[in-house]
Parts: sequence; structure tokens; C-alpha cells
Amino acid sequence: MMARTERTKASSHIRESLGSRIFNVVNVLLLGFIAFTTFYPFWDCFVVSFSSLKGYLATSVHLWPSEWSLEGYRYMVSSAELWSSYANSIIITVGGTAINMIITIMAAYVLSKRNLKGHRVLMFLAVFTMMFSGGIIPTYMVVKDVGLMNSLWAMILPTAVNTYNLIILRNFFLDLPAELEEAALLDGCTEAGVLFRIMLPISKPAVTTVTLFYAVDHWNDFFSAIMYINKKQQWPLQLFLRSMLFQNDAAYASGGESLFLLGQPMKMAAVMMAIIPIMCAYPFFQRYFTAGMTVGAVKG
Amino acid sequence: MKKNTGTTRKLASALLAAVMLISAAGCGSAAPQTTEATGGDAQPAAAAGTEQEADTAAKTDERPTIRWLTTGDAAAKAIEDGDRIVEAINERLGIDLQVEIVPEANTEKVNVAMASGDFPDIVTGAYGTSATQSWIQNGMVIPLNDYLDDNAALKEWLEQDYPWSAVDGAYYGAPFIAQYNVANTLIVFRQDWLDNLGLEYPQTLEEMKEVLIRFTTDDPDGDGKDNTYGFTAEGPSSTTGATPFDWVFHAYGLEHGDYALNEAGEIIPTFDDPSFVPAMNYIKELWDLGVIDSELMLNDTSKKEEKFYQGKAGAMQAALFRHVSRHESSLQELFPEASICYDLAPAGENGKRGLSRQGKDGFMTCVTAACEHPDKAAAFINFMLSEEGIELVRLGIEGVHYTKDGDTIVYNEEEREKDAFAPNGWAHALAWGSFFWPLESGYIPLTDPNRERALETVELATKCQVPNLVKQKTPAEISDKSALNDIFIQYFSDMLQGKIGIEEGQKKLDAEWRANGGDAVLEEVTAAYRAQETQ
Amino acid sequence: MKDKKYTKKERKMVSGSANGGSGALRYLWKNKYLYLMLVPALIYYGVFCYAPMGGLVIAFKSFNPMKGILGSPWAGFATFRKLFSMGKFYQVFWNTIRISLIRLVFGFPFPIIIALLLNELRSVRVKRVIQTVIYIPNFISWVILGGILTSILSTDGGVINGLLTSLGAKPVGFLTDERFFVPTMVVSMIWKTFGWNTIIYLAAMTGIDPQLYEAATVDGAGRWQKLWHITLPCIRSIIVVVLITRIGSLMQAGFEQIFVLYHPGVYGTADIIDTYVYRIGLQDGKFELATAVGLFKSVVNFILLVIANRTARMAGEEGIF
Repeated sequence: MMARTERTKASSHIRESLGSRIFNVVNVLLLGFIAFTTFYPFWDCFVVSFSSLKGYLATSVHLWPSEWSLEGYRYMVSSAELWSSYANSIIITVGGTAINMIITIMAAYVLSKRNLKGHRVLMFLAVFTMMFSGGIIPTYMVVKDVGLMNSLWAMILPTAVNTYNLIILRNFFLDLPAELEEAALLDGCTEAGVLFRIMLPISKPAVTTVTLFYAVDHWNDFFSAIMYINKKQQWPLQLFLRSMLFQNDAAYASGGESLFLLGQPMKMAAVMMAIIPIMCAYPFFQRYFTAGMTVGAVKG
Repeated sequence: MKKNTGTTRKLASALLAAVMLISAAGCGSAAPQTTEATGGDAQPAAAAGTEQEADTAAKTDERPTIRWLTTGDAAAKAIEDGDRIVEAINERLGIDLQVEIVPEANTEKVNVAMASGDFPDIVTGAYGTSATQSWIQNGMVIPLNDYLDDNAALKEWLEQDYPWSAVDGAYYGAPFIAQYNVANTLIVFRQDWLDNLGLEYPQTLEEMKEVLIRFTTDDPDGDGKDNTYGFTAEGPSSTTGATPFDWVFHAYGLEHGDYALNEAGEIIPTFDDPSFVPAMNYIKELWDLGVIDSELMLNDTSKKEEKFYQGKAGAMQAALFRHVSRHESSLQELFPEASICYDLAPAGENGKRGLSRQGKDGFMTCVTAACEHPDKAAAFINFMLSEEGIELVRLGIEGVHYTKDGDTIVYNEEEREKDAFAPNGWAHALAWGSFFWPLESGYIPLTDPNRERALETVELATKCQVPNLVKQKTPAEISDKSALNDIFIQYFSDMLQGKIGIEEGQKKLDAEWRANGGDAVLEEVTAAYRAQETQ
Repeated sequence: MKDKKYTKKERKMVSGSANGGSGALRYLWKNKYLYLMLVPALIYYGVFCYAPMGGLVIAFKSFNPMKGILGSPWAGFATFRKLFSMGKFYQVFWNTIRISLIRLVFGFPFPIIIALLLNELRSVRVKRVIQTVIYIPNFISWVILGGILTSILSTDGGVINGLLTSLGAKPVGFLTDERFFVPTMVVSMIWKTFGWNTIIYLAAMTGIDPQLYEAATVDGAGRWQKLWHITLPCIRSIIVVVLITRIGSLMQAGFEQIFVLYHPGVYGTADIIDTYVYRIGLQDGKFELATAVGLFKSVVNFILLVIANRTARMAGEEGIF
């Protein structure tokens, strides 16, 4: 809705200089070209995933499947664990991101208070963990001792806060006008009230951005599953797809049919199945960081 | 802010203290667990399996749980509860076996679990690596010598095939070296291209050169375009130090895979062998002629195969065995008339030839120090190596998974499907990865239509396999060999691309290799060699 | 506008002036809700970051899992000595720094420029489409992108070289020629990540008060002036934050990407600490070495980060701590 009003504003506005108009055209062309180059690899994967092996081998540039085939997808869908892994990934992503956001928002809000004693020390302690980490063995020991082995929590709790995201969110809170909070506190709002009723609604873009960052990290995580999850029923999608590909490669060494025949198309089908869900989620997030953006900037 | 530093500091230290407290608690609880495991009689650190153990405890009564963590066969089907093969093993040995196959055969997971003190009862890890070496050095796995008398198959396995694996007389596990006595790599040619040009599969280096040149210049596919070249392969490997042109070195007289012997009978690196410089000159000549894939260094297996299937390259060095028919049918996707051929690697002037090296890497299955029933664990390893066990995991239970019709075996795919068997006569999930691969076992189902051809390639490839001077990897090799291989590969690549002359490069390579730990490795390897020869 | 910015910094929302030396506990109690909100984060950092951090001592130990981390015998600096005595270590160290710096110099401003250009687009629809498209490569792993890049950049039938030769140029070995390899890495890295990196700047731009632009228009400010005097200053603090964190990760030169695409022919310029250490045996369980390398990188990163943060604060920025 915001966007629409902006556009009417923009079109109703006064004539632009010639230079400005030339810039507009060049800008669209330039960004369009850049966008085209970034679109290519996705398109390549997409086309290959729907090609037969023959279609794939026939050309090295894949603009359109020269021979269609759904074999790659059929193979991926054939396994019973696909759907449970989708479910696991969704649980981990939604649940994990929710936990991420609750903890991060509260911490970022408190740490954005410049007058609060110790906020710099605490920030420093958080940043310190970006640089120094104990490494894989001590982390494994902690995860085991806390009792998270073979539980989906092992994919959520050890990454409950991402310091970079904390810094970003805190920085956004720091930049908000102070009067808002002051007024609310004077009106008798509690700290939590200020945070949830005042700060969050006006920092939607920042919150959305950080949510997106967290969600993508959870969605793409497979390594913690390798480390902490033994049961196939608890695997997230990424690990499941990787293992299907690996299985296919491993057919080199051991038993099974020569699935390898499917080769690249199957690999790309797996890639598509992994990235399309998270890509579809993007527009929901995008609303919040494009809205309002064009105001003013458009008027030259 | 400045004026309040007092309060700030106090506050900060209070918070720090809180954090430290939590941290200390975390650390503290980690350590005792590990030390507990050392006690031997203490609880095994098998935390992960405890829940299921409780569930199944009632069912299996007094049977001890044996938890086996293995990289195993990542291509296999998941083993479900109540798998009849696992149950048969449990019945036979009186155990409650719990198998954990690591996703993607990720050895790192096994290493980390072990290093963190999360010990299973039996563990299979990568042999010839720092990880398994540290298990032995640190007493994390136990010697099996005491159990050999009761376990004939294990005893035979160790004493016949792997006597050198003992450390000061103690066998710390059952090694399985991949491609120890067999190989599957050959140079595959396009038969139709050879026919088009009236050529034969090249038997000598000279013929090889000619074929590759004509593949590049004489339009072997007859499409009128200059779009083909001779040979493609994968880039060199820093783990083994193998190059895509080992067949040239061996044709020029290099006799062993790992090292060479000089006239005085001393062990020297392969690039100090007199074969090295002339072989490099030959390779460089091919390279300069443009008959080799110029992006060979970038190739992985699928990239390499793609170039062959797309009709760019007329020959590739490739693994065969079960892949023969795959290579041919993939090639026929685009060229329905095409076919492939393979033979022994080309020979040098004195008729010498060789292609792939004898393996030095593989797996080792050990019993951990936390295992409460080492006798049962050893019995299980023994069973997996015995005729009976092999038959069970490959064929299944007679009358259920298969029936015998005279000498031929009739698979009951419907029943096999219910357990963790792969289709079409392939084996159970426990069959491969830890003790055997099909290649080493010469296993290919009798029903497989390409069986004859697959076995033929193994026979040929094994003839071209080059033995090692020293069977095992010594500790210095485990620690430094891949860094040394890197130096070699770097020079090899520089010589090929003409960044450095061959003779000059060979001298510099020798100096750098020796200075960076090569001399120490040679010393250790020489000692191992002497010991091996006197055995 | 300047005034506004100033009031932002004047935040006094913490109860209790605390300048009377009333004691830490009383101060804590007064702000108990604020500190309570920190508790989950504190627990997280304590348990999952600081507790495992004790494991860093592995770098100074001869690690024996049977004895645990604390019980293993000390080895002093033996692992570090071994690391620093490796002839190749210095080469890969400098390669790491070089690649990182080039990436920083070109890769850091690029998303900002693109975000600013996107902000100048008239049509919301075009903007959305472009934005959606440019972030896609971020989701495709290097293993897959690497395969696509090798086909596109191949000297044998690759699209780019096809274009070059049709223009009469000689084919370029983007991935095989040592001179082109690092530039290719940098460009492809920027190309993969810039779209994703614009998100944060776009989010910051959303927060800019539209009134500022309107006031500027009334004052007769042009497009360029608005960009320079409103948009950039308003996202400056986030730019600084991103810059500081990037400087603090200079020792990360993009392991996955280089690992997928490099080969012995380009080791001279492209081999970085992470790839080198991986090859010499990280994957086979040399934990002391892995920890030592990690610690070394952490220390260098940390020093850089502290310097960057200090500099930013001296320049009047908030910094990250």
C-alpha cells in the first residue's frame, strides 16, 4: 500500500532534468545487466534439473532443456525421508529463528542503552566470541553434556545468538530517536512494553533483515546435523539432499544400482529442492525493506 | 561515562564472574566424563545410545549392547529396527548390536566423537591418518591379541594380510586397505574414433603419442571441426601424490608406487629415480602438443567424465569395474554408435608398464577402551570377517532372502526389500565400507548383465597395478606426507606448464622436499623397509 | 537534520543516575528488568561460547582424549613452532592477507553502491525484481557454483572466452592462469554475495525519515546532493559497523570458494591458510594443529578488529563495542 502511494507521488511530480533522465535509463540498464548475470547460474541449475542426461551433455550453455526429464526429481522424491526432512527443516528454521529473535531482540535493546553500566563490556564479550571460539571438540562436548545429542535442539540452541546479527540490530536501535522511548517511559510503560510496543514496530526493516539472516542460516545448516544427529528420521533437508547425492557418488565404491547415470541433472534437482522453499519465503521479508524506501529519493 | 568507572568496573566484574561460572561449569562437566572413560570399569561414555538401550533392554534381556560407530557404506539403505540381518547377528553372538553409520561417511564426525571422549564400543575410522594413530598412541583402543585365539577369522585376517599393522606386536584393530591387491583403473579409449582413423589400442608410449596426436588433429569424430583432443584425467591428488600420468613414469621404469630403490639399494623418492626426467620430458611433449586436456588440473571425476561423454576427449583415465557399462551408456547418450575399449597401460621401451599404485589408505575397525565386553566386540569383528558373516551380509538368510538352485543363487527381492538390502542382488547395508568393498571382494551379483566385462577390467587393471616398497604408512608419513606430496605436485605442475625447466625443477624439488621433512620420512621408511625385508 | 542526529545520541532511559556511588547491586536492582532481558543471551554465551573456549588450550597441549582437555600434558608452543617453521606458512599467510584485502577494497563498497543505485530506481516493481534476482547466487553453494563457473570460464567452449575470441582477443585461462586466478576469485566472490549484502543497507535506508528528503527538495537539493547529504549519512553507522566486522575477519579469505576452484597450478598465489592447513591434514584429525591455526587467525583478527573499532570511535562513530 505504501508503495502504491509512493508511485503516484513519483509520477505526479515535476519534470526531471535531462541528466537525471539519462541517469534513470542507464541505471535500469546497468542494474538489469547485473541482475541478469546473477540470474544465470540459477537458471542454469534450473534448466539442468529438468534435463535428461543427454540434454545436459549436448550443450555447455543451458538456456532451455533440450530434452526434458523429471528423473532427477523423481529420484529425490522416491525416498521416504524426504518429507520428514522437510518437516525437520521447517521446525528447525521456524522454531530456531523464533528463539534467535527473542534472545537477540532483548539483548540488542538492552545493549543499545548508552547509559547502561557495562554495556560496552558486554558488547565486547559478545564480539570476542566472533573472533575466538573453542573449536569443534569442546563444542561437541558441551552439546553432549547439555544433553542435546540426537535432538533437534542441537541444531537450534548452539547457534541461539549470532553476534553479527546482534550488532546489526543493536546498531539499528541505537539510531532510533530517543524521544520515543523517553515519552513512553514517562507514560508509565515498562521496559518490556517500550521494547515490544514502541521499538519493534518502528524497527520492522531491521528486525525483518535479521530474521531473514537467521532463517537462512538455519535452513542451510547441515554440519551440526552431521555432528549431533545420528537418526536419519531427524535429518534436516540439506543433509538429506546431500546424502542422496553422496549416496549416488558413493555408488562408485559399493553396492546399489548405477544411479550415477542421472549425474548432473539429479544434483541440480537437489539444489533446486533446497533453495526454492527459502527463495519463496523471501518476498514476505522483502516487503519490509522496500516499503517506504523510495520516498524522497525518487524526487530529484 | 568516565566518572562512573568505579561502578562500571564492579558491575562488569560481577557479570564476568557470572559468565565465568557458567563457563567453568561447562568445562568441568566435560572433563570428568572423559576421565571416567579411562577407568575401564567405569560407565562407558556411550551417552547417545542410552535411551534406545533402555527401550530394548527388556526385549533382549541380559544381552550386552555393542554400539558400533562407522563410516561404513554411506550409499546403503538405512537399517530399520528389527532388521533381520542385525537380529540374526544378535542371536548368533548374544549381543544387542546398534550400528551408527555416519552421514556422508564423514570421518571427521568419528574423529570428533572419539576425541571428545564419546566412545562407542567398536569404532571404524580412516586408517593411515593422524586420528587412528592417536587412538593407538593414547590408549583409546585396545589390543586384540588376547582375543585372537578364539577368533580364527580375525587372526587369519591380521596375520596373513596385515602383519605389518601390529604396533610393537600388538594388533589394535582390523585394518582394511582399499585397493591393496586389486585395482580398477585403466585408460579408456573411444573404439569408434580408433576405427575411424584406422588405429589400434596403443600398446607402447610411442603408439600412445601417435594416437593422441591424431585424435587431436585428424578429426576423429568426422564432424569437420577442430574440436577434439587426446587425453583427459583428474588432477593430481595431494593425499596419495598420484598424478594423471603415472603410467608414463612406470613405463619409463619406475618399479614401485611409493618410493624407488637406487643402485645402492637405498630408498629414494620417486622423482630421484632415473625414470623421472625422461618421463617428464615425454609428458611435457604431450602437453606442449596440445593433445592433453589443458584444464586437466581443474577436473574432478564428473568433469572429466563429462568431457569424454561429450566427445571432446578420446581417452580418459578412469575407474572401471562396475562403471564399464555406465561409461559406455553415458557416451552413447550423444553418440549412439560409439563404444569404448580398454587394455593394459602402454609399455615403455623395455616393455615395462604400470598404472595405479597399490593402496596404502583404508579403514580400521577397533574396540575402544570404554567397551565393557571386549570379548563380544572382538567376536563381532571376527564374525564380520568370517565366511558365515560374509555370506549373511551379502546374500542374507537362506530360505528367506535367497534360495539355492544347485549352485546358482536365486534372490528373493521382495524379502530383501524388507531389510536393508540394496536391489538387484546387491548386499546388505553392513556388507561394505568397514571390512570390504565389492572391488576387493570381486563381488558382483551373478544376475548382473555386465558381470563378465566388469571382472575383466579388474583383471587388466590389477595387472597394471604397481606394488609399494613399504606396505604401511609410517608415523612421519602420516604426519607429513601430504605436505610433501604438495611440494611434489606443485613442481610437477610448474614443470608441465613450463614455469621451470625439468632438470632444474627436479633438483630444486629434491632439495625442497628433503628439507621439509622428506629426509626424516626417508629415514623412517628405510627402517620399516629393512624390518619388512628381514621378516 | 544535524540537530536531530544529536538528540539521538542523548539517550537517558536508564533509571537511577548511579553517579552517587550507590553500589553495583543497587544499580543492578534498579535496572533489574533490563538486566533480566540479558539473561538468555548471557546463558547462551556462557554455555555455548565461553565454556567451549576453554578448549583453546588444546593448542598448547599434547591432546590425549583419554585424559580430557584439562588432563592432557602441556606441550607449550610446540604446535605453533611447527606451524611457523613450515616454509609455506608465510606464503599462504601473505596470500590470505592479499586476497582478503583485495576483496575488502572492491567487495565492501560494491553492495553499498548497488544499494544506492537500487534506491534511485523509479519503478518499485523493477526494483523488487532486481533485488530478488541479485540475491539468488547467495543460495547456491560454491560446490555447485564452482561447476558452473568452470564451464562458463573454460577456454574450451566457455561462454566468456567465446565472447572474447569473437571480439578478436585471445582466450583467457581465468582459472588456469596464475595471473588471472585471484582476480577471478575476487570478482566471482563479489558477484555471489553482493546482492545479499545490499539487504542490510536497504533496510537502513528504509529507516530514513522521508521528511528529510522533502525538506531537501523544498530547499532545491538535487538528486546527487540528497544522496550525498541525506542517504549516505543516514546509513553511515551501519556502513561503519559492517566495515569493522569485515576488517575483523580479514584472515578469512573464502575457504570454500578457493577450495572448490583452486589447483596446484595456482598454489603460488591462491593457496591460503585454510586450504593449506586443510591439505596438510586437518581432515584427518590433527586437532592440536587445527586449534593452533584457529587461535593464530583469531588473534590476528582480534587485533585488527580492536584497531578498527578504536579508530571508528576516535572518528566519532559508535563502533561495535
